[in-house]
Amino acid sequence: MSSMIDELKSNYDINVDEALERFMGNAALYEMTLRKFPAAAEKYSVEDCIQSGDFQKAEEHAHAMKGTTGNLSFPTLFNAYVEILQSIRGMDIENAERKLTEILPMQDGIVEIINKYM
Amino acid sequence: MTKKILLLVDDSEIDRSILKNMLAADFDILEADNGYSALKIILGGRPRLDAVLMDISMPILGGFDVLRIMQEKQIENLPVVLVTANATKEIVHQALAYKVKDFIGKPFDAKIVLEKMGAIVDVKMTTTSEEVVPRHILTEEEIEETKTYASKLKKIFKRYAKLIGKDDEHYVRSSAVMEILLTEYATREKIADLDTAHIEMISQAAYFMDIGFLGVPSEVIIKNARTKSELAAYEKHTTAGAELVWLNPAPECRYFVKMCEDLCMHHHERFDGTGYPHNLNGNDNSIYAQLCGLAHRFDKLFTKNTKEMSEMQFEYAMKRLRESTGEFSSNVLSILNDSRYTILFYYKNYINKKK
Repeated sequence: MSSMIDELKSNYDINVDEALERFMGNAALYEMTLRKFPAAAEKYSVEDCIQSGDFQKAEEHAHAMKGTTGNLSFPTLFNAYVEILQSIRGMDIENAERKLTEILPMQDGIVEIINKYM
Repeated sequence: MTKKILLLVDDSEIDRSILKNMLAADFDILEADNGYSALKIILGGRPRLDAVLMDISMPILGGFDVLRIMQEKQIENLPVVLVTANATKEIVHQALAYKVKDFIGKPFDAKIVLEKMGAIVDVKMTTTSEEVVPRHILTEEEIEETKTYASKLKKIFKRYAKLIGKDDEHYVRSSAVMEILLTEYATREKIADLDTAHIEMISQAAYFMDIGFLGVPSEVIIKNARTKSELAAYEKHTTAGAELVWLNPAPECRYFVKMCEDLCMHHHERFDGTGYPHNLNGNDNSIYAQLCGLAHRFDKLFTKNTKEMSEMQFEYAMKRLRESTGEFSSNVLSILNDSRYTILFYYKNYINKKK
């Protein structure tokens, strides 16, 4: 296992076994795909959309982040985005923001580790 | 066998990369990161796609927008599988209305993705052309556009035949026999919507069954006894033809082109599953390709002695076809047998015109 994946695994909730199954045992491809996560996190920032009041875009971005975090096997982030998406759809923006505040430090931490290995 | 071509449509680079890794062994994959780019590939008609795997939620044009436009353009024969993290009742109903084949959920499960996409392609390979080429009322525009295209294609084929010292008479006759067989088939099976316009178009498509010869070395075509490798090269005229007929992928010509594709590809299949290129068994091969193969073989046998286009010669051809166990079904042979007088009449007129 690469040091990047090891570092992610020892610091954050990441299900490497499940991910490797999804990547059909191709660890190199998993690592390569993980390197795309910082760009995805920036592109699909839910926080920016909520702050600008564009809730439709916020929903689209939360949906994209849900898929991405699920596919990369970040269970905590994935579950959080499931809740954020539901909250935005139900116009419970307050809860969406609360949940975002709760998980963004983890997301930023993951991004930071990945960026270190770029 | 060549790989099937899959168009992967997802705005998430990460998701595309995962799916591509899962499916690359079984498919040649084209990618689009939004619905608009996907439509450009789908409507362009080249390369010819075998399936589309598409996300619902995308910028510019979403998955359902693409499906709506495909429906408007009458692209009904391209299997689409939707990717969604949330298959709600509403989504499922909407997808059913667009005849979506299946759903794949997020996060992806490699086993499910492979199973579902494999099933879609297997189904497509073995569906009859009745499903691959659904009948609809042909518009004047479709009929006219198809005529223009067929005439251009015919010029190309005739020029090629001349180059290798042949003519197209066998194909003219096979196409006419095909028309007679189809008329008999539509009558006996009481298929009301297999009308004159469709029968004419399908018969016209039969003329092009060997257009794939253009993609095979001419020395292999004109040879009588072929080596194993030459035989393999010769058999490629089926798949080459199926590709070649897509020179004009315009939606107005789609029924004709899809029919040509089926007839080129499968006129050498055998009812017992030992034909080529796909070893299609029984009625896994479309009735049209079966009748086209029969018209092709019949004309070769019937015109073997060109001076004797009599009922006796018809009997000889029938006997040889019946003796070729497993090549044709008893059903299509009986269609041929029941069409004998119309066929004899046609050949008599044909010879008279030649004189």
